[in-house]
Amino acid sequence: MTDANPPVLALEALETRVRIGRASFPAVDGVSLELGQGESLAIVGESGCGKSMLALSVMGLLDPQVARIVSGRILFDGTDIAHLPQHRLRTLRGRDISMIFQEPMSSLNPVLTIGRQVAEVVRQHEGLSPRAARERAVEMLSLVQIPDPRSRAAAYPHQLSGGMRQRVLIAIALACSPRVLLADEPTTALDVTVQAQILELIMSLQQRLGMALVLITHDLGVVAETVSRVVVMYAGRKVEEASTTDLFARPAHPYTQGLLGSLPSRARSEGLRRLRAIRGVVPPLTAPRQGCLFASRCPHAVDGCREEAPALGRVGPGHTVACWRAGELGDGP
Amino acid sequence: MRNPPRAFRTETQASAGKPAGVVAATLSRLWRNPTACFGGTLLALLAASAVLAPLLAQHDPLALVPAERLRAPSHEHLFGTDMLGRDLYARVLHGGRLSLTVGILTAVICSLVGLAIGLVAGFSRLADALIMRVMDGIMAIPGILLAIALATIVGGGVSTIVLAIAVPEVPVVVRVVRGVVLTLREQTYVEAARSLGTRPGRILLRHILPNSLAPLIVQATYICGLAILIEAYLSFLGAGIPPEFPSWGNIMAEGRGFVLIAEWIILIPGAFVAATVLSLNLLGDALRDMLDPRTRRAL
Amino acid sequence: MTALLALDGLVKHFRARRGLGWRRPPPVRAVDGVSLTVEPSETVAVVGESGCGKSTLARLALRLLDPDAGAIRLEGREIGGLPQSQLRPFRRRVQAVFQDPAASLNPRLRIVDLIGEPIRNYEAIGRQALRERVAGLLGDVGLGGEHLDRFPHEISGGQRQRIGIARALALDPALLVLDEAVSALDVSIQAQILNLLMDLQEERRIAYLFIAHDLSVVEHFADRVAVMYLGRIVETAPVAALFADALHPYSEALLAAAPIPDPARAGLRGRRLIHGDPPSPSAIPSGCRFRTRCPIARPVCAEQDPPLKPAGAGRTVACHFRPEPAQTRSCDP
Repeated sequence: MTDANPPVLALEALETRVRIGRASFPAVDGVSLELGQGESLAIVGESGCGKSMLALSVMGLLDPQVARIVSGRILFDGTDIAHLPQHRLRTLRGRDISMIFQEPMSSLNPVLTIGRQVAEVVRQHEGLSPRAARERAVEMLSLVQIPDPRSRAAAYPHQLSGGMRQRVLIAIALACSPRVLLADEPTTALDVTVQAQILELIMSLQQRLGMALVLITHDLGVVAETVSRVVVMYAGRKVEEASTTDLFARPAHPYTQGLLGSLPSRARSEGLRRLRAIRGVVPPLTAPRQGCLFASRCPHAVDGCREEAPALGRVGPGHTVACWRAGELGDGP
Repeated sequence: MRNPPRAFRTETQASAGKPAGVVAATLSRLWRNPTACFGGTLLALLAASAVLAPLLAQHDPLALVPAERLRAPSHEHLFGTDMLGRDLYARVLHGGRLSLTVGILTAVICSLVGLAIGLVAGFSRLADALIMRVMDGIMAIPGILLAIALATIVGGGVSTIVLAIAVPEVPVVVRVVRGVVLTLREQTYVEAARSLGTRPGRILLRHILPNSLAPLIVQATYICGLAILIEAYLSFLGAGIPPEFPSWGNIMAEGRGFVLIAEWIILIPGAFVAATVLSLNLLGDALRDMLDPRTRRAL
Repeated sequence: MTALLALDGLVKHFRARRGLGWRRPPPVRAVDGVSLTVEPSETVAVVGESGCGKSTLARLALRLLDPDAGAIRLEGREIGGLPQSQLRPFRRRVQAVFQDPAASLNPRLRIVDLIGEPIRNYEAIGRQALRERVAGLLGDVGLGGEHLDRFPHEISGGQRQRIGIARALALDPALLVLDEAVSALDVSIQAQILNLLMDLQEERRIAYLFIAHDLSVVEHFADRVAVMYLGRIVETAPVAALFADALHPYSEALLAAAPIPDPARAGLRGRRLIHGDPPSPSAIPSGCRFRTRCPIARPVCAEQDPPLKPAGAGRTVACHFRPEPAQTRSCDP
């Protein structure tokens, strides 16, 4: 990103802490990343890595009783939105930055027609008349390839299948042509054939509308087929960032290597009967955070790893990794 | 689907299962909730005053002192005296014993009977149809009228009053328990128990019963408050506790004729009834909110 | 050799409750004529999307449901018609591991009681002896004795699934029904659990009926695969044969839709995505049930329902036009 082409969304050492009982713990621990206009980025990690908290932090949707951003900046078009008051965030949400969630049914109001729900977003942000908003709603439904959009606009969410509902959510998210779309596990709850359709829809819309996309997922297959850049998160920290091709071909962090190595398709291509599993479990949120958080499970850990947390360092063009031994290790476990 | 992130497990889960742990965790959470704290403290004070009545009251609640009749509250008689010169403070405190006893007994009986019937109704489709029709029949009769009728037919006395109040309330408990059991039956761990060869009786006892206690306890607090209120109605109407024994309702009934000149005879026991029912309701609400198995998310 | 489990023409319909109108809504034909066998020590996977009936099939095999028609033979003995009260002896032979490790374990019971429950159901056993047995089972699934007195929420998701497996093994069953047993687990934990299951199968010669939707896991784990669609099996094959060359158009579509975690290969695949959503199991199309989404559907497909017929080399397929006459199957896989 140069000054002539500033990133549309940038996180600078973002830290979000979650309150449990009297203490607080970092769910997002100093994560920085940049997203350029029209770029597609995946944030990959397993449960507890903080990827969903990151998305909620960006959108300002954290429940103040439970979690809050304690430090760092979230820059949208150069302005820090991390601590904007809710009424300012409301204008931003839906219009400039949109989000779609995992469970289509719980995100839609069951007593309103889908046409009305799409129209409402448009009316709220652009102040269109009811008729103009209805027209835009039909346009959006057709854009997300819902067959027979004009009559379907009068349907209620429970009358639609999961895939259709997710399309409606995409229509709502894109109704005001946002600059950034955050998609948090948008296809995890869907069947694989529907997933393929929805992913293709998201990618084609992203390119057509020139939107920046952040796709949050745990599915490496989805990552390989959709985005151009990947960020890998572990226990709240960013451990690797690379282009998709580089990440799969030359994973530098032992966790990434472990993840890729444990895929059944890898075992098959290497002729192994047993899968190459990463031993141990992800440390709980409440565990003390000393040194590299992956050290207890890492096949290459040395004493220094447990003492000091590694910073992100370059291992190739556009490829950074947080590992003390990144230079010495090869591409595989 | 994924488990909710570890971050959002509440601390009640941290001690689920261990009886002492559950009580301790519940108490600590209640303490932090302002309404629960208020209700709980109030209830504790009221209960203490009832239990310690003989110690707290200097005068004999039954002693007739006509010379001191209808005195306003004073240093000597904290709540004043009634139309027969009896110390109201002593009477109200002793009355509290009766009223609270009625409340607790009713709650306990309703809970036990309702639990038993509800478990059977929820678990056996055959029994369900029969049981629920009977319950519907009982619920069709207005509770208070049923209570009055029963009390009048069988005569006064604490046990009859308790029965008269409990009978109309049992269907409510049965409904609640049955609903919980129906939900629990669909839980995966109940399905797992079936596949493991666990007999239905054992499934009921080990898997369903323990998990149905929480809503039952909430209902019990409401029933306790309701019972105290109904006892006051019944006694006020003359169909409750015989007038020899002071109960809040009795005291109010006697004070009816003197409301313009000695309003404290009605107001003070009335305030006690209100306070008790309020504290029980607050406690019940707080328990219900706490035991509600919501997974809290960041949104 | 008698098959361990033989399902023959199994049917299970669910009657929906009467709605607000006069007529009853049509029944959900969850399982609509399924025949399948599982041999001893074999792993048979059943794949399909939501609504295909694979979970219902699992529950029928476990006799948690009563079939409406058809036969279920366990080790040669007919158990489909037996009332629930007479099934206890057979439950020792077939056990289950469920999808959600947290939901399948009663949160109020300690692990020693959870795993001990099946043992107590069938044997009179003292407390100490039970603890020793359970400790042994914990060791079999890679957990230490320190977990005996813990509660499910005190351990991680992967460990909970190990508890579920230990519990299922307690009675030394001949068949384990794994209902999406790894679907809810993170990738790295999934690898551990799959390795465990493979080791157990080798040691104990257990057969697995593996219900799944993740094809890459199935490819690695199963010996034979059955593909289900709307209550029927549309294809069965040895796993290598199915993945090398699927015969039924639906199987092809599933394979085409599954994301491949390899950017190099992802782009090259000719993706013929099927469109639309699967019909509801209460409104199954006439003739071949896949015809509404099938790329090669022709008029005969609406009139005649193709039976599941042999297609050489241990394969079967239910399609009028597959295997194509030009594709002669040889006897080698």
